[in-house]
Amino acid sequence: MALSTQTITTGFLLPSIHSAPPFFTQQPNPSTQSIATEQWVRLILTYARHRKLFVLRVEDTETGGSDWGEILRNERINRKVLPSHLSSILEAMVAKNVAAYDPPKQTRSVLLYWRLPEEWADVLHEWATSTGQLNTILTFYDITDPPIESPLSNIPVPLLRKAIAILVKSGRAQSIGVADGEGVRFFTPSR
Amino acid sequence: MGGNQSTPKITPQDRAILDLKLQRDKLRQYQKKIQVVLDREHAIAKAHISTGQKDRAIIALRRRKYQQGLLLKTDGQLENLEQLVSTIEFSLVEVSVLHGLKQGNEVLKEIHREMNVESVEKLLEETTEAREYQREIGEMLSNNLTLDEEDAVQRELLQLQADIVCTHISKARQPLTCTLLGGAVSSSARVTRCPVGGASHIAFTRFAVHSQ
Repeated sequence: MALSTQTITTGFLLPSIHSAPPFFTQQPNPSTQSIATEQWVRLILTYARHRKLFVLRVEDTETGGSDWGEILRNERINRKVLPSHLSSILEAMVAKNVAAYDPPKQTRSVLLYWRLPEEWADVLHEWATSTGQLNTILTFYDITDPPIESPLSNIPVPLLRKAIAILVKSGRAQSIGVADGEGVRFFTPSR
Repeated sequence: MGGNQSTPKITPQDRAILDLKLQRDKLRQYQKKIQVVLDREHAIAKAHISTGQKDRAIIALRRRKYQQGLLLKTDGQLENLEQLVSTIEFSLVEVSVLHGLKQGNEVLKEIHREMNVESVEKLLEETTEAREYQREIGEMLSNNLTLDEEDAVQRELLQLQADIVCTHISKARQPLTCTLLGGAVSSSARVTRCPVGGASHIAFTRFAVHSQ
């Protein structure tokens, strides 16, 4: 059976390992398993970056039509990732700090860090600078749903909050809270 | 986390702006919701028509019309809110411009205090005096040569002139020696003895001496 890379409908290039049946089952040998998990982590992150997906849930492997169907299933070889397998991959991702359980205190869904919160912080500040929104007060909705598409469009609020917290720490932002919501103000750091 | 001094304080105005913007966001979200309902009613009406239930299709379309009216109303409200927000933000810009002008004015005043007319006049006077003084010193120094030295200078000058005259003549006329050009000769004697003949030349040399 030929293992080959394949470009799927969304323009994503699947690696050849994705058409290997053993890749979809948990391996008893720990070293084999850790290599397979590493491949999975890389595949998930590159796919998430490609499609701008932020959340991966364990049940995504069960529902066929979800955003993750193309990755977690391979119909050509009739394989899919089992929930328990996916759950252990998620655990590995959280351990490697390329994902975080969100909401916390459960293990069924994660927030993917295909950009680390620190990197998001830089992206956020750069966006605010380039769109001339320094020193003005922005709501979270302004950032996640700007009139002009930005790299931050649809960023999940928990991730946004983390990025803002980093900017606040480095003196590049200030968060403001009122009764029914919160906002943020960016500025150039004074040195 | 407001421990950093560089971060500006959150003023009540900031809170008010944030409140307004949050209201605006809510309106926008509401519009999104209505848009979804509109699309849904449209699909329902279409489905009813295709199955031949005209009256139900009309009901769906009526509902759609109503929602459309709501959308229009919220558009107006949104416009109001946005205008208010931009007016406030513009006023804040104006305030900061005013503040900038004020500071600039202060600085200018400060500079002018240091640079009043009297002190400038005094300074200029002093400069003129200093220049005058410098000139005097220069004069004194240049007049410091002794008489002997002055004499020697004059002699050297005449010698040089004689040299020039001789070379001119030797170029103009054929072989002619200027033998007596060496050595120290008293000025008037030397000029007359220069073997060039003709009063005009002597006059010329004299003239040259004067002109230099």
